[in-house]
Amino acid sequence: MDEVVALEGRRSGLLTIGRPRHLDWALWIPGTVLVLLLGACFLGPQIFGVPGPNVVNLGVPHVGLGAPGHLFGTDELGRDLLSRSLYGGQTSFVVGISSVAIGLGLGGLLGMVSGFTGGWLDSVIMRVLDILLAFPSLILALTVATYLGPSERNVILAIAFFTVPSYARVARSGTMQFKEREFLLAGELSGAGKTHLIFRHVLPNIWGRLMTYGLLTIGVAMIVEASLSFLGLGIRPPQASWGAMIADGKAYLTVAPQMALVPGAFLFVAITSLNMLGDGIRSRFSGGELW
Amino acid sequence: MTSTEGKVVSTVDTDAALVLEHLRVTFNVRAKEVHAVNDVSLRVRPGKTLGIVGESGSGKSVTVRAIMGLLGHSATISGSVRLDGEELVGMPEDQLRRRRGVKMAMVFQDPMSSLNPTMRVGSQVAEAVRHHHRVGRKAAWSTAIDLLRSVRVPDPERRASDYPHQLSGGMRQRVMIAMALSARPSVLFADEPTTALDVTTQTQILRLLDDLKERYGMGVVLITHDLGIAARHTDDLAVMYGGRIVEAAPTASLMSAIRMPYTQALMDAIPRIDALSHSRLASIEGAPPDPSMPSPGCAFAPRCPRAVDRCSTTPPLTEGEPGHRWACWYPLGVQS
Amino acid sequence: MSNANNAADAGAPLLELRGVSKEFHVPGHRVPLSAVSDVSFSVHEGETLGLVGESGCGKSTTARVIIQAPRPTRGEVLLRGVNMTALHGQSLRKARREVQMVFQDPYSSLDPRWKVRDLVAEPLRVNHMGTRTERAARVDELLSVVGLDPKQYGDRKPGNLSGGQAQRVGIARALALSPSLVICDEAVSSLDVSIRAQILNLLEDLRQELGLTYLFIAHDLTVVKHVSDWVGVMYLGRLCEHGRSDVIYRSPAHPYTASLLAAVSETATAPDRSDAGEIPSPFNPPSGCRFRTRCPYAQERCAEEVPELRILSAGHRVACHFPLATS
Repeated sequence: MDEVVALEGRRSGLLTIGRPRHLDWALWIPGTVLVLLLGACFLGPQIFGVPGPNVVNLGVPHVGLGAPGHLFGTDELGRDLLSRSLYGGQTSFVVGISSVAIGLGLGGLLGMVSGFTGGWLDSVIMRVLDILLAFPSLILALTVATYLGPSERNVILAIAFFTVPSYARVARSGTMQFKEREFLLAGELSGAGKTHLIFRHVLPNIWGRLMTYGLLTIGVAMIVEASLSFLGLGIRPPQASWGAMIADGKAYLTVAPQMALVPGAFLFVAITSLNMLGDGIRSRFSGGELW
Repeated sequence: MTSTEGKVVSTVDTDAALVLEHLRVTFNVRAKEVHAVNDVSLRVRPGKTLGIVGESGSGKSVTVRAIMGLLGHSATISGSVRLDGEELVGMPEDQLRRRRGVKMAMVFQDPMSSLNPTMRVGSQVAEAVRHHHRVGRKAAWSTAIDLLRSVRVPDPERRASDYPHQLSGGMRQRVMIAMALSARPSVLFADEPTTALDVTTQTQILRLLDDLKERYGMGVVLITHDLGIAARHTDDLAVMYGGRIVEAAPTASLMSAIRMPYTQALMDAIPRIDALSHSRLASIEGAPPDPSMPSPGCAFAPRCPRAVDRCSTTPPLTEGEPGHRWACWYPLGVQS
Repeated sequence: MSNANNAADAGAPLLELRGVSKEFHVPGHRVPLSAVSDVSFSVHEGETLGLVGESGCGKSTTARVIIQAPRPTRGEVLLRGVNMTALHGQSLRKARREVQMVFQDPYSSLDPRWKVRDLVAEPLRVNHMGTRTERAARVDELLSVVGLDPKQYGDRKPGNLSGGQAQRVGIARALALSPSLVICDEAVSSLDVSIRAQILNLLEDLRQELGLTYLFIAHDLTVVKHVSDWVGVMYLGRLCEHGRSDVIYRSPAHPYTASLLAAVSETATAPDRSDAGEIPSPFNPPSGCRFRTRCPYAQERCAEEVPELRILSAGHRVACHFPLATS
């Protein structure tokens, strides 16, 4: 609705002001950084012609930053840290994004069904999820990862598993909010079934907040992956991931600090951008009301 | 409170409590200027009610919010607003805040959202009293009871310890009015105070406002979309359309000789209790103008059955008859 | 629709409510909230029943109970003689197509993310009616019927419509399945005066052209006067007066109806005596006649005995022990 018409709107009694149409800095700076980082990780190795991530060169262990041929130095086996960080970034992003996608899909579905159906089904679903939510998330992921054994796929499943309850909560509260709106009753009156109402009316309306929450949790998932790898329950060597690289580097912090610091810096930039982007989008979704 | 009534009434004089001159409100929306209120000049007399009537987008609510200083930084306000002779436009925020609630108070459409749901209504009124007067808790509470009694809350001693949700909509609106009265304002703004209420309650609240303005010598500004209500409960009347005043006069003279076609159309569009079943209403085609897309000339011209070429230049608001202003090239019942 | 031949029976009502009650269990309250209590009325094809009363009188709950969302606690809702309360699943869904609703807040009743075109097509699509092109043609037709240019408005979203335009979309949607009964639940209450007149005229035109039957729910007696053949007045969940609209507006028999009329008539000089009268809690309605606590004519009998809705004259029923003298 046009904002000045809304000024007089008796419906809400709220004064709404126009949201800026142009992309604002809070969105496009982290967005650009992320795109660059994703591009570097997935396309960079080919473009820059870095050595393979697992090419061992025992002749040049622990080379510092800025060395010829090894811009970011090498690790204890002489492997190129830039190459390993880029390939490790692939792993971290794949784990982060796919675990969130799985968790979001499952949790979102459970939350919508639960919130829309209500009654005993809602109670059962939400109580079970409450129990899961009551466990410290890292411990939960640890347990699952230990049980499934360390591998990329299992890390993804473990992380997805522990995020389901929080996505379900977000989806459910959104659904409950729209359940009060009459367009769902209007849809029901026109003969639409539950599936149609959930997927065509509820989902599009809570999509924005689910996506925002998803963006924010990709960063969390990447940290959890790093933590699991750090503890030896995540990605198996020699495959690189930022978390696994930091774990490797911890033993050489005094001799070769770049081993932990380089992947650490990558992880830091990725997570900061994701959080800033998520926050930026969130404030756009919820903003716009003057009082 | 009752002991000072006589004194308050004695301050009633011919001076206006509130004078607006050439008030303009402009919003900056997407780097575009939107004139929500254009050149509005009005007077609110003490002890009298001014009705501002208009539809969505007419600028009636924006006008009042501009006077109250509630529009925030997105709005640019120019012109003059004098409250008891004191200029408010350009006044620093902290001084304006001191005037707000003391010399002018506001009652909104939805009393539930203006009341704190976790506090007893008596305490909320008492808090408002303590905000304006240096009195103790006990004295504030008994003043609160007096105020509730003056807005005709039955059994106020008992009602004061109720929570907002335990009261009906009408009672809540009375509590809001009691809070607004706590500072004994010169002007009380009532923005659609009865729109959310039931018919029987509506009349009671409007009669209460009629009564209070006389008792406290307070100017009341009643903002409503209902010309019928305005006709019955105001002394002066201003009809707004597209951000401008299109007709203004003392209520009695306006209702006896409507000049502006829009006012007449608004009057005709009101459903009547003596209508026959399935009878058609005189409706105005089209929709009220969108302030962000102004068109030149009279804003009502696109919907006006009498519009001619000349209406594409904006008619000025002129005093065609003593006390009766209208903005129309071809007013009803006047030989041109 | 399958019972179309039944409709031809003169005298058989399109909609009939028999002793309908609805109670809600509200957390924190020991007793249920009695929202609708023992309401019976019928609406004949092509006629409009206006249902009036103040907020909380149960008029909107009555509308919801008719469409079985939620179902009544007791009583029967018959549509063309078919008991809706006994229907489930697919057969209920089918029966409901005959009853559509127009809501008070058009913005709330239209999904803000859908285009006007898709909103109007939705009822057709979920019922697998017609091909894509047939549906598109029908949508254009429906939009034109409610006075919206399909080319200009079809691709807009509700947020880009004015209140009146959005309500027209709501009406077009309600008409998509060619219902017999349209329930207008405060359908014009939130509209501007000039727009309200347009929508009321539109509803009136549609009734004549399409032979619609309306259940018109409103708190505004003047609006109801314009549209209704029959009027039902509700107070605290009960139907207290029901009859032909001209009769009720001319000579109301129930003191509550009289007080409502006094409040809206221009010449209201009636004393403010209902000032002290708060609407009692629906959790604990007064014994006997529910209006007695605010009634200027209440006597002992009113507290003891629930007044039955009885026939006062042809086409006029009232639930009062001491009805006002009717001229």
